[in-house]
Amino acid sequence: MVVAVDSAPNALRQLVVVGRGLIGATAAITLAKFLAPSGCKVTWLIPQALHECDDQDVEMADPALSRWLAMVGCPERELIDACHGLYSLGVEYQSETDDFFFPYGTHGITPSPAPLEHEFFKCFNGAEQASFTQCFLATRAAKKGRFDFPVDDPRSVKSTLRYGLHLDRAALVDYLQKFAGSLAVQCVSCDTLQVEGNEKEGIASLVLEDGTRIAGDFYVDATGARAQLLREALATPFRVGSDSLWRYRLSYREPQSSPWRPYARMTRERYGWRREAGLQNATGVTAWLQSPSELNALEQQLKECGTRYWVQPLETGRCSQAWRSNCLALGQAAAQPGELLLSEWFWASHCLLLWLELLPDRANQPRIRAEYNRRWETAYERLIELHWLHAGRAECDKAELPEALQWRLNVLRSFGRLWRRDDELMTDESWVALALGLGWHAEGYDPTLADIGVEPLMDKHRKILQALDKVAEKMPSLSAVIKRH
Amino acid sequence: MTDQRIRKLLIVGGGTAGWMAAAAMARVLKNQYCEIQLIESDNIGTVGVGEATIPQIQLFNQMLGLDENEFLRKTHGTFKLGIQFVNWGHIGEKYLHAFGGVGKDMEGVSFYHYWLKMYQAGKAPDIDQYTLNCLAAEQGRFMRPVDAGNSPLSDIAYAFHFDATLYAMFLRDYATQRGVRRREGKIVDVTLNPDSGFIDSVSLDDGDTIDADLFIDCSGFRGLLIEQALNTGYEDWTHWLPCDRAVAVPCAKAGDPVPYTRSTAHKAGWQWRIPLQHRTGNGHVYSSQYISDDEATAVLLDNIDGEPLAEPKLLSFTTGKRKRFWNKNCVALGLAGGFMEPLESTSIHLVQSGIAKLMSLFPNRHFDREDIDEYNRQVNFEYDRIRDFLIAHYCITRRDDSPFWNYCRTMDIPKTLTQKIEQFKKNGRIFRTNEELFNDLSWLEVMHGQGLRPRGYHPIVDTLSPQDIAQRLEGIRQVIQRSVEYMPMHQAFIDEHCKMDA
Amino acid sequence: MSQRVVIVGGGTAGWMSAAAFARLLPSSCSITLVESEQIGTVGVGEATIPHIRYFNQLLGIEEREFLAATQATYKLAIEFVGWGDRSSRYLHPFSAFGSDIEGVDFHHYWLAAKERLPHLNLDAFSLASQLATSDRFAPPPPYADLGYGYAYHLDASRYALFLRRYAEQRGVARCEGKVERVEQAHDDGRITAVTLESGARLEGDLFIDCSGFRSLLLGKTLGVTFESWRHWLPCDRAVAMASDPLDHLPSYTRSTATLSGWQWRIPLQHRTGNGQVYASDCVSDDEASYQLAQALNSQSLGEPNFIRFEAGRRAHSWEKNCVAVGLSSGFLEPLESTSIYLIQMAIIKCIEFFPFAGDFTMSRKAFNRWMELEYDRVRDFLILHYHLNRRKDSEFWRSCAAMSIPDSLREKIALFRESAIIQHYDHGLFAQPSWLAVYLGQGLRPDSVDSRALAYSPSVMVSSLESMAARLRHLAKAAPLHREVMGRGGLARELPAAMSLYGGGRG
Repeated sequence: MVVAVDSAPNALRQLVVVGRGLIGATAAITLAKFLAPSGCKVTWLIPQALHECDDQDVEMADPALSRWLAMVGCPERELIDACHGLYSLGVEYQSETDDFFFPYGTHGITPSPAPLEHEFFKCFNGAEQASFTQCFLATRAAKKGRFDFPVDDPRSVKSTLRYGLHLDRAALVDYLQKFAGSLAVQCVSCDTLQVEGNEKEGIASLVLEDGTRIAGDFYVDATGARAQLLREALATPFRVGSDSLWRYRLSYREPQSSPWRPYARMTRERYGWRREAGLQNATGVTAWLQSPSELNALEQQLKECGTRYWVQPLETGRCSQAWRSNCLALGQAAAQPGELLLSEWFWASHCLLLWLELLPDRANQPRIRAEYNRRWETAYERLIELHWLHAGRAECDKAELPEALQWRLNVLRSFGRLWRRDDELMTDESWVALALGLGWHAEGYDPTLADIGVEPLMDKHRKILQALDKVAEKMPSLSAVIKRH
Repeated sequence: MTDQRIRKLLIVGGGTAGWMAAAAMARVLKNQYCEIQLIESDNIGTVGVGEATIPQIQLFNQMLGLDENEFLRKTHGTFKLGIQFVNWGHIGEKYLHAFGGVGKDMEGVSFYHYWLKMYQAGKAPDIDQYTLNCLAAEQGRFMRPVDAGNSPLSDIAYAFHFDATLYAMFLRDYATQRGVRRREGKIVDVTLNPDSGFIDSVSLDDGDTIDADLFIDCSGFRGLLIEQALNTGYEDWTHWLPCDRAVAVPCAKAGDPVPYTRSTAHKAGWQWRIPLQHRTGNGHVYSSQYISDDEATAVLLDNIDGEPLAEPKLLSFTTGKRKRFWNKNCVALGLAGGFMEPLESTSIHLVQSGIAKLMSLFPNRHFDREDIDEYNRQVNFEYDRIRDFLIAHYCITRRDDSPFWNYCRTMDIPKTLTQKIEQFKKNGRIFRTNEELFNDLSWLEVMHGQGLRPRGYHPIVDTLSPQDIAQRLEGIRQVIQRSVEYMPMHQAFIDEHCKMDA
Repeated sequence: MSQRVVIVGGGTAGWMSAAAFARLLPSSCSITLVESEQIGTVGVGEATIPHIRYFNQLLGIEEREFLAATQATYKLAIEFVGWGDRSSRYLHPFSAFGSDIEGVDFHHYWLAAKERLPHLNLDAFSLASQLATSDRFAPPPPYADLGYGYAYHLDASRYALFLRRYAEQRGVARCEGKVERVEQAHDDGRITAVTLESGARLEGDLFIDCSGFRSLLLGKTLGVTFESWRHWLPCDRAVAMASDPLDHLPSYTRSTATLSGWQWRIPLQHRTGNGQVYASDCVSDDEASYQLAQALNSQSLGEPNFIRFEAGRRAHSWEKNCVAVGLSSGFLEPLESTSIYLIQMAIIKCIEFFPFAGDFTMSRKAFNRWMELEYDRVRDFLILHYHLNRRKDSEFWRSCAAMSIPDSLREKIALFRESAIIQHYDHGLFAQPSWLAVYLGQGLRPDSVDSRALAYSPSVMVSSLESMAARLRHLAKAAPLHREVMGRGGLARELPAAMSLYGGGRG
């Protein structure tokens, strides 16, 4: 029977978000924004002592963040000012052998006759295939230090642009906390909390240190790797992944680079990856390291320079389920896929929106839950794949890659095609770009190109580059854009 | 204070103008506000070879509360998306003056400025490729606008072709059902008030005398009241609009009716073609100074699509306007007010606009001087602006194949028009003067269509890069092409909605 | 890169393959097709889905030329009559229904307001449906927020003939004759050549089996087993009969459920294709053909034509150097007009994964993996039509309702029943709007809807749904009649096609 039309007696009425950091803020804001209109109250518990946080970290957000800001109505420019932020058009990868630019957005060039990347597969062998990403306006503009906002009109080449943001994370959390206040989120600070279970293996209420009891229909666990609700209280098993490639994440700040770069930089180091994401006043550096000895060496080096840094040990893996009973865990509380190209925020917000799409009511429908967990698992596997891509070709050849990834790479190599799957996190174009840039190349290409010579194709690419450069040169510099607002 | 309202309104003359006035007055002056009577004589023929209109007529129909389909069924009407001009700029050239929008404005700047820049650079096709009405007309398609979001289908502008005689009959039924009394008779005398010079009454051939407070003269070109009785005076425009004759003939239709009027320039005038559901109306407008009536008739008959269905009918006129449209207690509508050839299908509009203005300045028996002056000012403005627009068709031409065109090409033109042309020539700018009937797009289509090419373009379009403009133009063109494909054929649309009774 | 491709069998599958290969494979490939005029093809009036437009455009075929050559008409939907229960009637259009409101799928709102809107069924919120129900056709107007796809009804034999001309003009060699013997390599069993009755011998590197139900190469020669799905899709016969064309020329296919199967009606320009699909253990051939004759909407033309089949597919369709395309790889009844789609996908994937380097292993794996997904997703969707019924008027329908169905399908239905949520997937043919059309059209009523859809004031919701429907109704009424469009030879200008059932999205 359909629920009576004039009310929603079963709708969730009281949501409790637990967690201090960026993920907690994101959950509180998103839920308040989308569910408050239908009468749902959101309480955000902010346990001060729950987990320590790196106040120097830089959030390198891909375009999903600016989409989210628009979605929840958060003023992006104001936020950028508050967080010393910069816009980014992509990520530059550097290694001892070659450079490659990973652009956000798309190239927007329609296949004629084959998709653009196949032309590069035909023209080049090996690493040169990655020059495919030169045909993105984002690449051309970024390397010239220029930036502009995407245009809504699909006919304009600027409509292919998407941008990410580099933000001071501590400032970002502060800002979002204030923003959450403006959205009728009830923020409650506490020191510690205790979880009381219910008979359905879920959560009945949360008890604060002063005895205050907070109860809801549904709980969101955003307490980071500790997962106080999902793991500690509900005893959800955590499975350590076999693919712990990086065991430490170390971050610190360097003086700001000048001029501002509209992109982040990833550098292949002996120890793993080093990422630089610039802010207006400093550059955030993050290193992913494999071995304790290399960690020691780096720490030593930083100590010598008197640089403050922060180390987080990494443990790749995931809970058996992210949503159990009336508790949904987001971000690291549910799983730790690690963070390289896509941040914890990306993954948490992706899952949160998925939950909102499915939205249970107070009956807490078990099949919705199963559907969520199914798709969440898929998302996790997709993220782990990105990790493997960053491990480098040599590393992967030694290891046993997840079957889905191995298959995808084999198909890419044999035919130059991306094996298409459901629930991808990145566009096909981005995935191919990344794989090519990180060392996987295609041996086959679209047969419609067989009868076309290499020269005409190269000529076409030159013309595309010229046209893009013309547009890029007319774009303002990143600093001009920042100064304008 | 005594009641000063108009107690009786007399319309002199049936025909399109008379019955439009009667219908409108009957609709607005309801509840026995005043008595409305119309005198017409069956002996006096009306000009009814097919009438073309402009989209403003829909306002009139709406005001009357007409069902559009019924109106078209009864008048054997068809739809009209614009006017095609053939051989005007030069022999062999043609263009469509389309109703409605062109392209899609960008960044607050009219679309045509962007187009002009690209067109000048040889990077854009002609403007008709960006005009829904042009493409639809060319393919013979029609539909009324529907709510299709941002699609051009949401604002299709259209007008009608119909049989003017049937239209007058249709409105006659409408008006008489609403209390207008029709009086058969022929006016033989008009009595003026000796003190005021106002019209007191008219006398009919059967001996009756009819008095009224307000007279509407719809007696046609001769201006029975406004000119013959009141000697208002006439401003002659023959030096600008040299045609002074027309010969008209209906013919059998050849194929399905097209959704546009055609105007073809000949060596001493031009010819209209107005497609109706059952036949086609044709007429040749010419200057008797340059061509004889016989020759003009021969040209007409040589250039019609089907068998003539009647004897060609000859009309003569003098282009111009009455010095006052409202004089004392008499308002002249239609041909009684002035004559401009139907090159831009403005005849019905001028009647309609006269009626609307009369409504808004409707007098009482004091006949307030200021109101009358205001009326004349407004109608004058309307006439003069349309006049300029018509002259533009004659003077912006490269035709040099006949004395007629040599005259038109080189004649003196009104200052207001010179200004407009010069402005456009410089950088493609067109300013709409107040609320003149034809807007910047109409002027653009005609001036461009006649072959006038500006030297520059609006500088603000340079804010977008040429590639950007090119891409957007192409996108707009595709959207318009796609939209046209959603439209049914004109005949199919008529069949489904407003097919005349067999 | 030189490759010799031999296609065994003409018909739709064979000539579609030949045409696509001729167009898309490099000139170094030689393509030969063997067919025998003595072997009939199954080609009857065929209904398609919008993907065929993509195929035609890939080949550079002009739509108007195609329409004339194949006597095709346009198609916007399939109407299902008597599915669910005897009185149900719904459309499965090539479009979504409504547009989502604040991130919540439209159908939740519709379900929430349904009792107050008994006169507005789901079809009122699809422009394609509105056009179809009034026998109209027009391509989707740009910018309108509800796009849709369109396909064709066509004469499959003429389509094959049309493609044959196309392929032969582009260098495909046609060999007349029956295949008598298939030669295999001693070492790995791959096919090396086929010999015809005439003695002619055709060697090849890659063999495309388009031999129809016989599955001459894949089944008979290479022994790839057939996996029957009869326990899920019980019909095993069809009888087809042509009749006069319909005056009002519907722009949709009709599928009418009968006591033990279903009937199709496919309107073409020159005639109407009709057929009865049935289970031979429930009804005799005579009775089935009688039922069909009774149901015709126009004067019949010619004799009934009987076809036997079994639902299912070969364990895989690419074995060694042989790719089966069409019926030789599997059969699914044309309930959702998927036959040509499955042929098309096999051809496209064969080209995508073409073994240029001579290594067939990756090609075979990739191809088989993809086709398996395609077949399974179509299969589940077809089973849904049979299983989700409340008809009590025959043993046939009762047993369909009671049968055990694949787990993947059971989960999908259960999720929808619980919460009106349609399981999401990006690839494979039928996506959310299609599942929705069938779930709701066949009377599955979910236990709950999204609570956000209940938060609106009912009167506001009702009037906004009503105005949405009114807008579509008006938009549809403005479009030309399908008959008119066909009268002028089809669209003047064809829209770019997308590999999507629901059109390529916005303008």
